Amino acid sequence: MPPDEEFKKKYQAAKNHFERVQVCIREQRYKIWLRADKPNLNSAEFVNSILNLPITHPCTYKKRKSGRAGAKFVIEFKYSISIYGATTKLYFKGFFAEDWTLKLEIQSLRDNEEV
Amino acid sequence: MEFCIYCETDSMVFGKTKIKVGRETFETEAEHCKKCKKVAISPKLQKEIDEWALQFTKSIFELQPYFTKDMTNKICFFANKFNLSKSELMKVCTTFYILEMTKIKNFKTLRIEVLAEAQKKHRGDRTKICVPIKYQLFKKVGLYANVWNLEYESNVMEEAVQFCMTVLDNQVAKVEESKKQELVHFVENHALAS
Repeated sequence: MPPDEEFKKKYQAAKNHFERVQVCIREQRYKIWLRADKPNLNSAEFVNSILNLPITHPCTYKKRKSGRAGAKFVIEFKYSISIYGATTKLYFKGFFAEDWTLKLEIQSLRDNEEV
Repeated sequence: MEFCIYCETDSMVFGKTKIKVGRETFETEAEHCKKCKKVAISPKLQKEIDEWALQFTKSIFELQPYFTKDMTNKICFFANKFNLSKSELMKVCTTFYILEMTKIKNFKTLRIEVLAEAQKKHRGDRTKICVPIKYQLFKKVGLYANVWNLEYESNVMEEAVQFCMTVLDNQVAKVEESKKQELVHFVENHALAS
């Protein structure tokens, strides 16, 4: 799906890549990687909570190992969410594809991992 | 082939793929990885899956919680009292537990205390009960299992039923009386509607 002008403006106005991640989530321009045999059908809850993080949230970037089109780096960060009385630590990994869609995966972290 | 964010190889293709949703399979065309078998789900595709799963009148998921004989008797007792089947009562308890009990202040501590108490009281061999559930409840149960690191979705129902039975049995002094009443009303209202 090619990006429309309004989305392009918001994406380009973002101050950093983390804010671009938030723009993609807000504008529903993302795809989340799930297991086909046992998909986590609640992943949107984990994705949407990224919108509550500040744009200064610490991220790391690494060069993509392969692939032609899209951004040449992978963005990673850790965050936590509180839901149903529990606080869960999560790990996010994503990259911007050629059509500016954010492609991501989210994994749960062990309790002893720092966020 | 394109880049797969999970396995970080060029194994991503677009085409027909199958996504398992409970006992059913959702067939669609989407990006999927030939190596790690992950599928890329957009909010639009997720909405399509939700709409498709909700159209089933039958239950497409089945939980298989294990309970001791004592606990099963307790479930039967309260099911009769509220004029519900065992399955219905367990589903009502699970819904109330996830949506309401988790809002209690200090739920984390209370959960440990109540479940430890219930497990101490109800020891012995456990037998399996099969409880078919619908998509909406399965999603909630799945999320709860995920955030509390429970291995199986059935563990959520085991926990919820043990907790609610202990509360209904008036054995949890730490749960406010108002919450106990809320649970009773919730079950009664469900019995009225079912």
